Amino acid sequence: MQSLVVQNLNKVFKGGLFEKDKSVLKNVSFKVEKGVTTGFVGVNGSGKTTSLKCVLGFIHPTSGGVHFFDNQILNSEIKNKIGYMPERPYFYEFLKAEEFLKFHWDLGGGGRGFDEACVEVLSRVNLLSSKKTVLRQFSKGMLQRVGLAQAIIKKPDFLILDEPMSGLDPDGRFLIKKIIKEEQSRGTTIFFSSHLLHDMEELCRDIVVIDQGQIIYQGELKKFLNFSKGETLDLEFAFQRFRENQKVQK
Amino acid sequence: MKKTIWPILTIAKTGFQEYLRDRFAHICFFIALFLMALSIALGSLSLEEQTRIMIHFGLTSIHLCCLGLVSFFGAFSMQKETERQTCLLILARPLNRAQFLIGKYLSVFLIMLTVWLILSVTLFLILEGEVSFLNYMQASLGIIFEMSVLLALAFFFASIVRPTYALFMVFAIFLLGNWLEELLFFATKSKNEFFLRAAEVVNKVVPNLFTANWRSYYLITTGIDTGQWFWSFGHHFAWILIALALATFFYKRKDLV
Repeated sequence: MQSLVVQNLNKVFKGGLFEKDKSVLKNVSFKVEKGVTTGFVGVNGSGKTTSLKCVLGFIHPTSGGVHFFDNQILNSEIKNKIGYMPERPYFYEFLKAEEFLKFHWDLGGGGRGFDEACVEVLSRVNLLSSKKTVLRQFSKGMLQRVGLAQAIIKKPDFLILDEPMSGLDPDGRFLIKKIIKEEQSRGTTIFFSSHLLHDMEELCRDIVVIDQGQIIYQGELKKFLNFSKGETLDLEFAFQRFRENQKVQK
Repeated sequence: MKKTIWPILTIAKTGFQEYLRDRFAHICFFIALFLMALSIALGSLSLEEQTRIMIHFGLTSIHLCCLGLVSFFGAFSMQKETERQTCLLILARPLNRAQFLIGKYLSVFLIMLTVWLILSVTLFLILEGEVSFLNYMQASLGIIFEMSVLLALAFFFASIVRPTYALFMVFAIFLLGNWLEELLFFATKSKNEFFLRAAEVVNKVVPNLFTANWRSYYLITTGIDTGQWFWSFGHHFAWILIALALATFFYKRKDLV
Protein backbone atom coordinates (compact mmCIF):
# COMPACT_ATOMS: atom_id res chain seq x y z
CA MET A 1 0.00 0.00 0.00
CA GLN A 2 1.28 3.43 -0.95
CA SER A 3 0.95 6.60 1.07
CA LEU A 4 2.12 8.78 -1.80
CA VAL A 5 2.40 8.21 -5.53
CA VAL A 6 3.90 10.91 -7.72
CA GLN A 7 3.58 10.35 -11.46
CA ASN A 8 5.40 12.17 -14.24
CA LEU A 9 5.51 15.48 -12.48
CA ASN A 10 6.77 18.32 -14.62
CA LYS A 11 7.13 21.92 -13.62
CA VAL A 12 8.16 24.72 -15.90
CA PHE A 13 8.46 28.22 -14.47
CA LYS A 14 7.64 30.84 -17.08
CA GLY A 15 10.49 33.20 -17.79
CA GLY A 16 10.14 36.95 -18.12
CA LEU A 17 10.07 38.91 -21.37
CA PHE A 18 13.72 38.25 -22.18
CA GLU A 19 14.18 35.14 -20.07
CA LYS A 20 13.85 31.53 -21.01
CA ASP A 21 11.34 29.26 -19.32
CA LYS A 22 12.95 27.19 -16.60
CA SER A 23 12.18 23.52 -16.33
CA VAL A 24 12.60 22.61 -12.67
CA LEU A 25 11.05 19.15 -12.53
CA LYS A 26 11.33 16.64 -15.36
CA ASN A 27 9.07 13.62 -15.23
CA VAL A 28 9.47 13.15 -11.52
CA SER A 29 7.90 9.87 -10.41
CA PHE A 30 8.27 8.08 -7.11
CA LYS A 31 6.33 6.22 -4.46
CA VAL A 32 6.34 6.30 -0.69
CA GLU A 33 5.26 3.06 0.94
CA LYS A 34 2.93 3.11 3.89
CA GLY A 35 4.63 2.85 7.26
CA VAL A 36 8.09 3.31 5.77
CA THR A 37 10.47 6.20 6.27
CA THR A 38 11.66 7.45 2.92
CA GLY A 39 14.36 10.02 2.43
CA PHE A 40 14.28 12.51 -0.39
CA VAL A 41 17.81 13.45 -1.16
CA GLY A 42 19.45 15.79 -3.63
CA VAL A 43 21.97 18.59 -3.68
CA ASN A 44 20.81 22.17 -3.11
CA GLY A 45 18.70 23.37 -6.03
CA SER A 46 17.96 19.89 -7.33
CA GLY A 47 14.17 20.31 -7.00
CA LYS A 48 13.40 18.76 -3.61
CA THR A 49 11.43 21.66 -2.19
CA THR A 50 9.62 22.30 -5.50
CA SER A 51 8.61 18.63 -5.60
CA LEU A 52 7.31 18.79 -2.04
CA LYS A 53 5.44 22.00 -2.81
CA CYS A 54 3.84 20.31 -5.83
CA VAL A 55 2.90 17.33 -3.66
CA LEU A 56 1.18 19.59 -1.14
CA GLY A 57 -0.52 21.76 -3.77
CA PHE A 58 1.41 24.98 -3.11
CA ILE A 59 2.75 24.90 -6.65
CA HIS A 60 0.66 23.74 -9.58
CA PRO A 61 2.60 21.23 -11.67
CA THR A 62 2.71 21.84 -15.43
CA SER A 63 1.74 18.20 -15.87
CA GLY A 64 1.64 15.00 -13.89
CA GLY A 65 -0.28 13.77 -10.89
CA VAL A 66 -0.02 13.30 -7.15
CA HIS A 67 -2.07 10.73 -5.27
CA PHE A 68 -2.27 9.92 -1.58
CA PHE A 69 -3.33 6.79 0.26
CA ASP A 70 -4.23 4.66 -2.74
CA ASN A 71 -5.34 6.98 -5.47
CA GLN A 72 -6.92 9.87 -3.62
CA ILE A 73 -6.19 13.42 -4.64
CA LEU A 74 -5.28 16.09 -2.09
CA ASN A 75 -8.37 17.36 -0.25
CA SER A 76 -9.27 18.45 3.27
CA GLU A 77 -9.76 14.88 4.43
CA ILE A 78 -6.31 13.87 3.15
CA LYS A 79 -4.73 17.03 4.58
CA ASN A 80 -6.09 16.05 7.99
CA LYS A 81 -3.92 12.95 7.86
CA ILE A 82 -0.77 14.82 6.89
CA GLY A 83 1.70 16.68 9.08
CA TYR A 84 4.02 19.09 7.30
CA MET A 85 7.03 21.07 8.32
CA PRO A 86 8.54 23.51 5.81
CA GLU A 87 12.21 24.14 5.19
CA ARG A 88 12.37 27.57 6.78
CA PRO A 89 10.56 27.77 10.08
CA TYR A 90 8.80 31.14 9.68
CA PHE A 91 5.80 31.42 11.92
CA TYR A 92 3.67 34.19 13.39
CA GLU A 93 6.33 35.40 15.80
CA PHE A 94 3.99 37.29 18.10
CA LEU A 95 2.31 34.06 19.18
CA LYS A 96 3.40 32.10 22.20
CA ALA A 97 4.37 28.45 21.60
CA GLU A 98 1.09 27.31 23.13
CA GLU A 99 -0.97 29.81 21.06
CA PHE A 100 0.86 28.73 17.92
CA LEU A 101 -0.05 25.11 18.54
CA LYS A 102 -3.64 26.07 19.35
CA PHE A 103 -3.80 27.97 16.05
CA HIS A 104 -2.79 24.84 14.15
CA TRP A 105 -5.01 22.65 16.26
CA ASP A 106 -7.99 24.88 15.37
CA LEU A 107 -7.03 24.96 11.69
CA GLY A 108 -7.07 21.19 11.79
CA GLY A 109 -10.69 21.27 12.93
CA GLY A 110 -10.24 22.02 16.63
CA GLY A 111 -12.04 19.77 19.06
CA ARG A 112 -11.30 18.63 22.59
CA GLY A 113 -8.04 17.40 24.01
CA PHE A 114 -5.82 20.30 23.04
CA ASP A 115 -4.36 20.92 26.51
CA GLU A 116 -3.19 17.33 26.88
CA ALA A 117 -1.91 17.16 23.31
CA CYS A 118 -0.06 20.45 23.74
CA VAL A 119 1.72 19.36 26.92
CA GLU A 120 2.58 15.99 25.40
CA VAL A 121 3.97 17.36 22.17
CA LEU A 122 5.91 20.19 23.83
CA SER A 123 7.49 17.70 26.22
CA ARG A 124 8.53 15.55 23.29
CA VAL A 125 10.30 18.45 21.62
CA ASN A 126 11.77 19.67 24.92
CA LEU A 127 9.91 22.97 24.90
CA LEU A 128 7.48 22.55 27.75
CA SER A 129 9.27 25.20 29.80
CA SER A 130 8.90 27.63 26.86
CA LYS A 131 5.16 27.07 26.52
CA LYS A 132 4.37 30.69 27.35
CA THR A 133 7.30 32.20 25.44
CA VAL A 134 6.63 34.16 22.26
CA LEU A 135 8.16 32.62 19.15
CA ARG A 136 10.12 35.83 18.50
CA GLN A 137 12.39 34.86 21.38
CA PHE A 138 13.04 31.35 20.06
CA SER A 139 16.37 30.29 18.56
CA LYS A 140 16.45 28.60 15.16
CA GLY A 141 16.65 25.17 16.76
CA MET A 142 13.68 25.92 18.99
CA LEU A 143 11.65 27.16 16.00
CA GLN A 144 12.49 23.98 14.14
CA ARG A 145 11.30 21.97 17.12
CA VAL A 146 8.06 23.91 17.57
CA GLY A 147 7.55 23.49 13.80
CA LEU A 148 7.84 19.77 14.25
CA ALA A 149 5.49 19.95 17.23
CA GLN A 150 2.73 21.51 15.09
CA ALA A 151 3.29 18.80 12.47
CA ILE A 152 2.79 15.93 14.94
CA ILE A 153 0.24 17.42 17.33
CA LYS A 154 -2.70 15.85 15.46
CA LYS A 155 -0.94 12.49 15.28
CA PRO A 156 -0.82 12.36 11.47
CA ASP A 157 -0.59 9.17 9.43
CA PHE A 158 1.89 10.76 7.06
CA LEU A 159 4.66 13.21 7.94
CA ILE A 160 6.28 15.35 5.27
CA LEU A 161 9.36 17.19 6.51
CA ASP A 162 11.39 19.54 4.36
CA GLU A 163 15.02 19.63 5.53
CA PRO A 164 14.08 19.09 9.18
CA MET A 165 17.67 19.06 10.38
CA SER A 166 19.22 21.84 8.34
CA GLY A 167 21.15 24.40 10.35
CA LEU A 168 20.77 22.57 13.65
CA ASP A 169 23.47 21.85 16.20
CA PRO A 170 24.21 18.18 17.11
CA ASP A 171 21.80 18.27 20.05
CA GLY A 172 19.02 19.63 17.86
CA ARG A 173 19.67 17.00 15.20
CA PHE A 174 19.66 14.29 17.82
CA LEU A 175 16.30 15.43 19.16
CA ILE A 176 14.67 15.64 15.73
CA LYS A 177 16.01 12.19 14.87
CA LYS A 178 14.64 10.87 18.15
CA ILE A 179 11.19 12.24 17.37
CA ILE A 180 11.27 10.82 13.86
CA LYS A 181 12.16 7.43 15.35
CA GLU A 182 9.26 7.70 17.82
CA GLU A 183 6.92 8.50 14.95
CA GLN A 184 8.30 5.51 13.04
CA SER A 185 7.50 3.24 15.93
CA ARG A 186 3.95 4.61 15.93
CA GLY A 187 3.63 3.42 12.33
CA THR A 188 3.67 6.85 10.74
CA THR A 189 4.78 7.08 7.14
CA ILE A 190 7.60 9.63 6.96
CA PHE A 191 8.93 11.38 3.91
CA PHE A 192 11.67 13.87 4.55
CA SER A 193 14.10 15.74 2.39
CA SER A 194 17.71 16.49 3.04
CA HIS A 195 20.86 17.25 1.13
CA LEU A 196 22.89 15.10 3.50
CA LEU A 197 23.08 11.34 3.22
CA HIS A 198 24.19 11.17 6.85
CA ASP A 199 20.67 12.13 7.94
CA MET A 200 19.17 9.37 5.84
CA GLU A 201 21.42 6.53 6.89
CA GLU A 202 20.13 6.36 10.42
CA LEU A 203 16.46 6.84 9.70
CA CYS A 204 15.42 5.65 6.26
CA ARG A 205 14.77 2.34 4.68
CA ASP A 206 14.16 3.77 1.23
CA ILE A 207 15.42 6.83 -0.54
CA VAL A 208 14.46 8.84 -3.57
CA VAL A 209 17.37 10.66 -5.17
CA ILE A 210 16.77 13.72 -7.28
CA ASP A 211 19.35 15.50 -9.38
CA GLN A 212 18.72 18.48 -11.66
CA GLY A 213 14.98 17.94 -11.47
CA GLN A 214 15.11 14.25 -12.38
CA ILE A 215 14.77 11.19 -10.22
CA ILE A 216 17.94 9.18 -10.63
CA TYR A 217 17.33 6.52 -8.03
CA GLN A 218 14.49 5.14 -6.01
CA GLY A 219 14.77 2.14 -3.77
CA GLU A 220 16.55 0.87 -0.74
CA LEU A 221 19.12 3.13 0.82
CA LYS A 222 21.55 0.26 1.35
CA LYS A 223 21.71 -0.46 -2.38
CA PHE A 224 22.37 3.19 -3.18
CA LEU A 225 25.13 3.39 -0.59
CA ASN A 226 26.79 0.39 -2.20
CA PHE A 227 27.63 2.63 -5.13
CA SER A 228 29.85 4.70 -2.89
CA LYS A 229 31.33 1.44 -1.54
CA GLY A 230 30.93 2.61 2.00
CA GLU A 231 33.85 5.01 1.67
CA THR A 232 31.91 8.15 2.32
CA LEU A 233 28.42 9.44 2.70
CA ASP A 234 29.14 12.49 0.59
CA LEU A 235 26.21 12.94 -1.74
CA GLU A 236 28.18 14.33 -4.68
CA PHE A 237 30.55 11.40 -4.40
CA ALA A 238 27.70 8.91 -4.22
CA PHE A 239 26.12 10.55 -7.31
CA GLN A 240 29.39 10.28 -9.18
CA ARG A 241 29.79 6.63 -8.32
CA PHE A 242 26.17 5.98 -9.17
CA ARG A 243 26.54 7.55 -12.62
CA GLU A 244 29.79 5.71 -13.27
CA ASN A 245 28.06 2.50 -12.37
CA GLN A 246 25.16 3.26 -14.69
CA LYS A 247 27.58 3.96 -17.55
CA VAL A 248 29.35 0.66 -16.95
CA GLN A 249 26.02 -1.15 -16.94
CA LYS A 250 25.08 0.45 -20.28
CA MET B 1 -20.69 24.28 7.83
CA LYS B 2 -18.60 24.43 11.01
CA LYS B 3 -15.68 22.85 9.13
CA THR B 4 -15.82 25.67 6.58
CA ILE B 5 -16.27 28.58 8.97
CA TRP B 6 -13.96 27.50 11.80
CA PRO B 7 -10.63 27.80 9.89
CA ILE B 8 -11.73 31.18 8.46
CA LEU B 9 -12.44 32.51 11.95
CA THR B 10 -9.17 31.09 13.28
CA ILE B 11 -7.18 32.86 10.56
CA ALA B 12 -9.17 36.07 11.04
CA LYS B 13 -8.53 36.03 14.78
CA THR B 14 -4.80 35.42 14.44
CA GLY B 15 -4.46 37.99 11.66
CA PHE B 16 -6.32 40.51 13.80
CA GLN B 17 -3.91 39.86 16.68
CA GLU B 18 -1.03 40.42 14.28
CA TYR B 19 -2.39 43.72 12.97
CA LEU B 20 -3.11 44.95 16.49
CA ARG B 21 0.64 44.83 17.06
CA ASP B 22 1.48 46.40 13.70
CA ARG B 23 3.25 49.75 13.89
CA PHE B 24 1.57 51.04 10.75
CA ALA B 25 -1.86 50.55 12.34
CA HIS B 26 -0.69 52.48 15.41
CA ILE B 27 0.61 55.32 13.22
CA CYS B 28 -2.68 55.55 11.27
CA PHE B 29 -4.64 55.55 14.52
CA PHE B 30 -2.61 58.30 16.15
CA ILE B 31 -2.65 60.47 13.04
CA ALA B 32 -6.45 60.24 13.04
CA LEU B 33 -6.53 61.15 16.74
CA PHE B 34 -4.22 64.09 16.07
CA LEU B 35 -6.44 65.33 13.23
CA MET B 36 -9.46 65.01 15.50
CA ALA B 37 -7.73 67.10 18.14
CA LEU B 38 -6.91 69.58 15.40
CA SER B 39 -10.60 69.71 14.47
CA ILE B 40 -11.40 70.87 18.02
CA ALA B 41 -8.81 73.62 17.71
CA LEU B 42 -10.10 74.65 14.28
CA GLY B 43 -13.69 74.53 15.45
CA SER B 44 -12.95 76.78 18.40
CA LEU B 45 -11.65 79.41 15.98
CA SER B 46 -15.00 79.62 14.22
CA LEU B 47 -18.25 81.10 15.42
CA GLU B 48 -21.45 79.03 15.26
CA GLU B 49 -19.72 76.47 13.01
CA GLN B 50 -17.83 74.47 15.63
CA THR B 51 -19.94 71.29 15.37
CA ARG B 52 -19.98 71.40 11.57
CA ILE B 53 -16.17 71.72 11.38
CA MET B 54 -15.62 69.05 13.98
CA ILE B 55 -17.91 66.59 12.18
CA HIS B 56 -16.43 67.24 8.75
CA PHE B 57 -12.84 67.23 9.90
CA GLY B 58 -13.29 64.36 12.37
CA LEU B 59 -15.09 62.04 9.95
CA THR B 60 -12.54 62.82 7.24
CA SER B 61 -9.72 61.85 9.59
CA ILE B 62 -11.47 58.52 10.33
CA HIS B 63 -12.04 58.06 6.61
CA LEU B 64 -8.37 58.62 5.76
CA CYS B 65 -7.13 56.47 8.61
CA CYS B 66 -9.31 53.56 7.46
CA LEU B 67 -8.19 54.13 3.86
CA GLY B 68 -4.54 53.86 4.95
CA LEU B 69 -5.24 50.62 6.82
CA VAL B 70 -7.24 48.85 4.12
CA SER B 71 -5.06 49.89 1.21
CA PHE B 72 -1.73 48.93 2.80
CA PHE B 73 -2.85 45.83 4.68
CA GLY B 74 -5.09 44.75 1.78
CA ALA B 75 -2.38 45.11 -0.85
CA PHE B 76 0.47 43.59 1.15
CA SER B 77 -1.05 40.98 3.47
CA MET B 78 -1.16 38.05 1.03
CA GLN B 79 2.25 38.86 -0.41
CA LYS B 80 3.70 39.02 3.10
CA GLU B 81 2.29 35.56 3.83
CA THR B 82 3.86 34.17 0.67
CA GLU B 83 7.18 35.92 1.18
CA ARG B 84 7.54 34.76 4.80
CA GLN B 85 6.12 31.38 3.76
CA THR B 86 3.81 31.41 6.77
CA CYS B 87 0.97 30.53 4.39
CA LEU B 88 2.54 27.14 3.60
CA LEU B 89 1.99 25.79 7.07
CA ILE B 90 -1.57 27.09 7.06
CA LEU B 91 -2.46 25.76 3.62
CA ALA B 92 -1.05 22.35 4.54
CA ARG B 93 -3.92 22.16 7.03
CA PRO B 94 -7.41 21.02 5.97
CA LEU B 95 -8.53 24.28 4.42
CA ASN B 96 -8.45 25.68 0.92
CA ARG B 97 -7.05 28.90 -0.47
CA ALA B 98 -10.47 30.58 -0.61
CA GLN B 99 -10.92 30.05 3.14
CA PHE B 100 -7.44 31.41 3.76
CA LEU B 101 -8.05 34.51 1.65
CA ILE B 102 -11.41 35.22 3.26
CA GLY B 103 -9.85 34.74 6.70
CA LYS B 104 -7.15 37.27 5.85
CA TYR B 105 -9.79 39.66 4.46
CA LEU B 106 -11.75 39.38 7.70
CA SER B 107 -8.64 40.00 9.79
CA VAL B 108 -7.98 43.35 8.05
CA PHE B 109 -11.70 44.13 8.18
CA LEU B 110 -11.70 43.52 11.93
CA ILE B 111 -8.75 45.82 12.60
CA MET B 112 -10.36 48.50 10.45
CA LEU B 113 -13.67 48.03 12.26
CA THR B 114 -11.97 48.31 15.65
CA VAL B 115 -10.13 51.49 14.72
CA TRP B 116 -13.29 52.93 13.16
CA LEU B 117 -15.37 52.14 16.24
CA ILE B 118 -12.89 53.67 18.69
CA LEU B 119 -12.45 56.81 16.59
CA SER B 120 -16.17 57.21 15.83
CA VAL B 121 -17.16 56.90 19.49
CA THR B 122 -14.33 59.28 20.48
CA LEU B 123 -15.58 61.85 17.96
CA PHE B 124 -19.14 61.48 19.19
CA LEU B 125 -18.00 62.06 22.77
CA ILE B 126 -16.07 65.14 21.62
CA LEU B 127 -19.27 66.42 19.98
CA GLU B 128 -20.94 66.21 23.42
CA GLY B 129 -24.24 64.89 22.09
CA GLU B 130 -24.92 67.78 19.72
CA VAL B 131 -26.16 65.36 17.07
CA SER B 132 -28.33 62.26 17.20
CA PHE B 133 -26.22 59.16 17.94
CA LEU B 134 -28.24 57.04 15.51
CA ASN B 135 -27.89 59.49 12.63
CA TYR B 136 -24.22 59.96 13.41
CA MET B 137 -23.42 56.22 13.46
CA GLN B 138 -25.51 55.66 10.32
CA ALA B 139 -23.42 58.28 8.54
CA SER B 140 -20.16 56.97 9.93
CA LEU B 141 -21.05 53.44 8.77
CA GLY B 142 -20.71 54.75 5.22
CA ILE B 143 -16.96 54.70 5.83
CA ILE B 144 -17.13 50.97 6.61
CA PHE B 145 -19.16 50.28 3.45
CA GLU B 146 -16.65 52.11 1.29
CA MET B 147 -13.55 50.67 2.95
CA SER B 148 -14.87 47.09 2.84
CA VAL B 149 -15.18 47.38 -0.94
CA LEU B 150 -11.73 48.94 -1.28
CA LEU B 151 -10.29 46.20 0.91
CA ALA B 152 -11.82 43.47 -1.25
CA LEU B 153 -10.51 45.24 -4.35
CA ALA B 154 -7.04 45.48 -2.77
CA PHE B 155 -7.08 41.70 -2.30
CA PHE B 156 -8.21 41.23 -5.89
CA PHE B 157 -5.58 43.56 -7.37
CA ALA B 158 -2.87 42.03 -5.19
CA SER B 159 -3.78 38.59 -6.55
CA ILE B 160 -3.02 39.66 -10.13
CA VAL B 161 -0.32 42.34 -9.87
CA ARG B 162 2.47 43.31 -7.49
CA PRO B 163 1.31 44.80 -4.18
CA THR B 164 2.72 48.25 -4.98
CA TYR B 165 0.68 48.42 -8.18
CA ALA B 166 -2.32 47.10 -6.26
CA LEU B 167 -1.89 49.96 -3.81
CA PHE B 168 -1.97 52.55 -6.60
CA MET B 169 -4.97 50.85 -8.18
CA VAL B 170 -6.87 51.00 -4.90
CA PHE B 171 -6.15 54.72 -4.62
CA ALA B 172 -7.29 55.20 -8.22
CA ILE B 173 -10.58 53.39 -7.52
CA PHE B 174 -10.98 55.39 -4.30
CA LEU B 175 -10.67 58.68 -6.16
CA LEU B 176 -12.73 57.59 -9.14
CA GLY B 177 -15.47 56.03 -7.02
CA ASN B 178 -15.83 59.20 -4.98
CA TRP B 179 -15.76 61.52 -8.01
CA LEU B 180 -18.22 59.56 -10.14
CA GLU B 181 -21.12 61.85 -9.27
CA GLU B 182 -19.16 64.90 -10.42
CA LEU B 183 -17.95 63.05 -13.50
CA LEU B 184 -21.52 62.22 -14.52
CA PHE B 185 -22.59 65.78 -13.78
CA PHE B 186 -19.89 67.31 -15.98
CA ALA B 187 -20.48 64.72 -18.73
CA THR B 188 -24.17 65.68 -18.83
CA LYS B 189 -23.30 69.36 -18.83
CA SER B 190 -20.76 68.97 -21.64
CA LYS B 191 -23.41 67.53 -24.01
CA ASN B 192 -20.59 65.57 -25.64
CA GLU B 193 -21.99 62.16 -26.62
CA PHE B 194 -18.65 60.33 -26.27
CA PHE B 195 -17.86 61.86 -22.88
CA LEU B 196 -21.34 60.99 -21.64
CA ARG B 197 -21.11 57.37 -22.83
CA ALA B 198 -17.64 57.01 -21.30
CA ALA B 199 -18.86 58.41 -17.97
CA GLU B 200 -21.79 55.98 -18.01
CA VAL B 201 -19.47 53.04 -18.64
CA VAL B 202 -17.14 54.11 -15.84
CA ASN B 203 -20.16 54.51 -13.57
CA LYS B 204 -21.09 50.88 -14.25
CA VAL B 205 -17.64 49.28 -13.89
CA VAL B 206 -16.44 51.24 -10.86
CA PRO B 207 -18.10 50.91 -7.44
CA ASN B 208 -20.23 53.96 -6.67
CA LEU B 209 -18.39 54.84 -3.48
CA PHE B 210 -19.97 58.29 -3.40
CA THR B 211 -23.32 56.69 -2.51
CA ALA B 212 -21.95 55.95 0.98
CA ASN B 213 -20.60 59.44 1.51
CA TRP B 214 -22.75 60.74 4.34
CA ARG B 215 -19.94 62.55 6.09
CA SER B 216 -21.84 65.84 6.20
CA TYR B 217 -23.21 67.90 9.04
CA TYR B 218 -26.38 68.54 7.05
CA LEU B 219 -27.12 64.83 6.50
CA ILE B 220 -26.35 63.96 10.11
CA THR B 221 -28.69 66.60 11.45
CA THR B 222 -31.50 65.92 8.97
CA GLY B 223 -31.07 62.14 8.88
CA ILE B 224 -30.20 59.78 6.04
CA ASP B 225 -32.93 58.31 3.88
CA THR B 226 -33.32 54.66 4.93
CA GLY B 227 -33.98 53.48 1.38
CA GLN B 228 -30.82 55.16 0.16
CA TRP B 229 -28.87 53.66 3.07
CA PHE B 230 -30.01 50.13 2.26
CA TRP B 231 -29.44 50.59 -1.47
CA SER B 232 -25.89 51.69 -0.74
CA PHE B 233 -25.39 48.72 1.59
CA GLY B 234 -26.58 46.32 -1.14
CA HIS B 235 -24.44 47.97 -3.81
CA HIS B 236 -21.28 47.82 -1.68
CA PHE B 237 -21.99 44.29 -0.50
CA ALA B 238 -22.38 43.09 -4.10
CA TRP B 239 -19.05 44.68 -4.98
CA ILE B 240 -17.36 42.95 -2.02
CA LEU B 241 -18.66 39.59 -3.20
CA ILE B 242 -17.54 40.21 -6.79
CA ALA B 243 -14.06 41.39 -5.77
CA LEU B 244 -13.53 38.52 -3.32
CA ALA B 245 -14.73 35.95 -5.86
CA LEU B 246 -12.26 37.31 -8.41
CA ALA B 247 -9.46 37.46 -5.82
CA THR B 248 -10.10 33.83 -4.88
CA PHE B 249 -10.21 32.76 -8.52
CA PHE B 250 -6.78 34.23 -9.22
CA TYR B 251 -5.21 33.33 -5.88
CA LYS B 252 -6.14 29.67 -6.39
CA ARG B 253 -4.09 29.67 -9.59
CA LYS B 254 -1.00 31.19 -8.04
CA ASP B 255 2.17 29.26 -7.37
CA LEU B 256 3.28 29.88 -3.80
CA VAL B 257 6.98 29.73 -4.54
